[in-house]
Amino acid sequence: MDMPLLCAGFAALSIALYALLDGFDLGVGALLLLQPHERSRDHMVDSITPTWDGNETWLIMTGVTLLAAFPIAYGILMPALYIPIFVMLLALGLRGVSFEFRAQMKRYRRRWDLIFAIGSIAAACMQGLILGALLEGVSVEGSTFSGSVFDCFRPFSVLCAFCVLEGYVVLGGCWLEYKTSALLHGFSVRTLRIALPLFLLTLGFVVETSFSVQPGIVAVWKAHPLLLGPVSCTVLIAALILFGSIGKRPDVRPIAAGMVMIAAGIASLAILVFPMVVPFRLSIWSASSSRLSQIFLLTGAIVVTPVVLGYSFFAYWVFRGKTPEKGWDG
Amino acid sequence: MALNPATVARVQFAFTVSFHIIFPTMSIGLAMFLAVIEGLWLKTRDALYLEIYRFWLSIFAMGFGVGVVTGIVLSFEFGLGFAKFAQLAGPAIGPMIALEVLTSFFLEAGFLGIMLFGMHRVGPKLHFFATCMVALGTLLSASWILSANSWMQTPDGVAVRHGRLIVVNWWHVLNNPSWLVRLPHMLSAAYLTASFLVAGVGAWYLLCGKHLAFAKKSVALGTAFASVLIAGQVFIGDILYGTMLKHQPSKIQAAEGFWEKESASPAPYYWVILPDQKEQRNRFALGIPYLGSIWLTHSLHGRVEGLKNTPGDAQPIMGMVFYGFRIMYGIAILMFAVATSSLWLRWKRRLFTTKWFLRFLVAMTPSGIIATLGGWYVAETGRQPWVIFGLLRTIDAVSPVPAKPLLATLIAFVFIYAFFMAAFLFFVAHIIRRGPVLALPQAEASGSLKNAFRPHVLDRAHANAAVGR
Amino acid sequence: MLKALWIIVARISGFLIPTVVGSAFFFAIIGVFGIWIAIAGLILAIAFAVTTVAFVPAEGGARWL
Repeated sequence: MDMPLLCAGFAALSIALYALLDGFDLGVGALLLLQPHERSRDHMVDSITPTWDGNETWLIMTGVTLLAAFPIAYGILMPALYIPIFVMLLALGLRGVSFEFRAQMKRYRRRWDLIFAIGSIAAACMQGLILGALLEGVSVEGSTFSGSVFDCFRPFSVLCAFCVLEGYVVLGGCWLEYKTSALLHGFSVRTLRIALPLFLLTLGFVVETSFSVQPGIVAVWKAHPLLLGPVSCTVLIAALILFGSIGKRPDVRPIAAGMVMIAAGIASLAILVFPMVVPFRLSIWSASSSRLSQIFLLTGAIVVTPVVLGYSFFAYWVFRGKTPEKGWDG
Repeated sequence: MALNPATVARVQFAFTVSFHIIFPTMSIGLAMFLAVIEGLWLKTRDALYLEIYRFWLSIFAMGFGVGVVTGIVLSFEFGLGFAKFAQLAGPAIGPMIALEVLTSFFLEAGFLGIMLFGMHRVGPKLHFFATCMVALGTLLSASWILSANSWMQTPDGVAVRHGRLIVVNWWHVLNNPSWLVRLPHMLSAAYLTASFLVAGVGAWYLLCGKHLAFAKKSVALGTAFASVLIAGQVFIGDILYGTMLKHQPSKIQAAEGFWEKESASPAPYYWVILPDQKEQRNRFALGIPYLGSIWLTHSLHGRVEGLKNTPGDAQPIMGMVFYGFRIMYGIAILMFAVATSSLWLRWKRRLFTTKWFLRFLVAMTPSGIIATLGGWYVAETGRQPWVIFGLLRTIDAVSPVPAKPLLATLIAFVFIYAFFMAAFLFFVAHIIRRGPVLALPQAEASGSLKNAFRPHVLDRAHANAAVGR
Repeated sequence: MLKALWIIVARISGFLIPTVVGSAFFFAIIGVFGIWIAIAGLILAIAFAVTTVAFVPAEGGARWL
């Protein structure tokens, strides 16, 4: 049994779930800046309040899986991405804390909304920056990071930051269309009609630039065109379906298409990077933890993840349907 | 200015972890308290319990939120400041923390939404189940992370091969020599913290003459739990002391303030010292005569082992370990005194009217938090200079990051965390000033699980109740 | 005069008795007299606490904490 391979699979699943679930949370947060009416903003935040905590937990799961299964990679990537990870953590912290505080102290809502929005945007941008820096490559010497902490602030990474932010805004808009009442329908539709094309444009730039920035990516395209081709097409087809279903019934179609689009995007990233856990320097097998550690992790993952997905789904089910306009206080 | 990156990394981790521990300690205690209170409400249908539940639910939610975000920082900070530690210890503590995320973080997160926002969407029994699941999540979380930290204190079950750690026996890693003693100690600390928070708030209201029913119930409940818990906590603490004496003698030697290999006989129990680590002596020491021998060697003339028994390059810094321990132990004694007084005053039927006792309770409100911090300072500074005791020194575990970015992030952490704390305290003060909110009559909802899956039934019941039908 | 003396005795014992008894339990539980006394002291202390909070009303006639 190829333990490192299975662990890599679990890590990939974890990051995918994170991007899909917290993606729309961060997107909704970012969109707060564009919404001038306080009642509408309350409604937007209410739509993500009951389930955001579980969504964010998949990020921790990814980081900890890396620590448990590929500690060499963890020890290289953390110092390499020190500044963006740190900014992301503080941004997520501000966002998380704003959730609680704006719910409990109604008088300061406007200020908390601003912090909430800025935190969401900063976190999304940092995640994009990290993605870009990973793809561009990190300086490694043996099993230690050998570059500077400022290496990750390069043009390609900044471009990726915008791309991820826009992608999350698209997901956020889709979520709002699905979960909020008529109060926000116009807003979500208008947002999607602008955000989606913008995202696809940026994505195009990113893909094109990636070829010149990272020769490893070109190599993978040349070696597996029949694998990458269909997956990339899925991204485009899902985007088209999404665009076509904006504002129309059933309103679950945009979010479903949006999730397929992002998921396909993540899949293509996984194909591009495989089997390097520190792209394109260190493979999963050279960065691996001890065999018993990976077995322990996988056993726990296989047994517990279905249960987690089960009651997470239950939590979403309890809060199904449109978010009530008067909020959750009843 | 030449700043040592190792020092900055250590200060940063110390700051973030100290700040963090305040909140899970409260969350573990309050979650259990809320589960008990909701259970009591379901059993007695006394609206006072629902008032108590709602009051502490807001504070719990706030504290839980700050705990989560400061906790996420830690899971990445292992790598940020201490990459070499992460690379070495990953095989051992990584899977444990991964299981913590899987079995408890997701559990808490999954049911927290229902607990906070689902009161009108699910029936009371399912809601109670959600509260219990959150309490269980905090308990499991404490178990896993205590196992990981205990492994760092008393490592077992691993072998070193080609400079990396291989896990040889998972049961030995998990059930390392100190885990099963430190776990009940931390859990009791959390439950005692909640007890004193609750009792302190109640005592405050009694002194102000407000919300009397709520206040009396709070003082009764808080002191009741404290009295039952503190005896056990002191007992476990003593057992833990013995365990650490065996597995980490340097920590215990530093904790008592003695330098000489064998102290004078009889030995005093020091409360204040001015230690000089370089000269390996105390410039000043104040203690109670004979008590050192009595408490530490269980005899009238026993001699206590001092820090010189540990070679100089393996010694922790006595000042930090000693004062952390004295703060924790001193508060434990005060808690014991509160417990004893509360039982005595109950017999005398004067629990709610004895002014000095109520003021004592108010002063003791944050006692659990301070004691827990003191205890963790003993644990972590006492383990130094090791990060994995006997296997890896802290200075060898630092990331290849220069001091300047570390310092910048440390300063940023201090400012943002100060903001979190200020907002949290402001909010708690606001909740206390507002006082408990009367429970709604329609809180006496269906009680049947069936209605959990038919929220519109509950909504209609509320609508009917609102119109007075 | 006897009454004044009695009040003083009551006040002092009201402080002294719980302090002495409490301290004795504390010393016992931390193991000064050995592990078995410690365990006995622990069990007694918890039993006494549980009995008191369950059956002694803190004021008036109401029971249950």
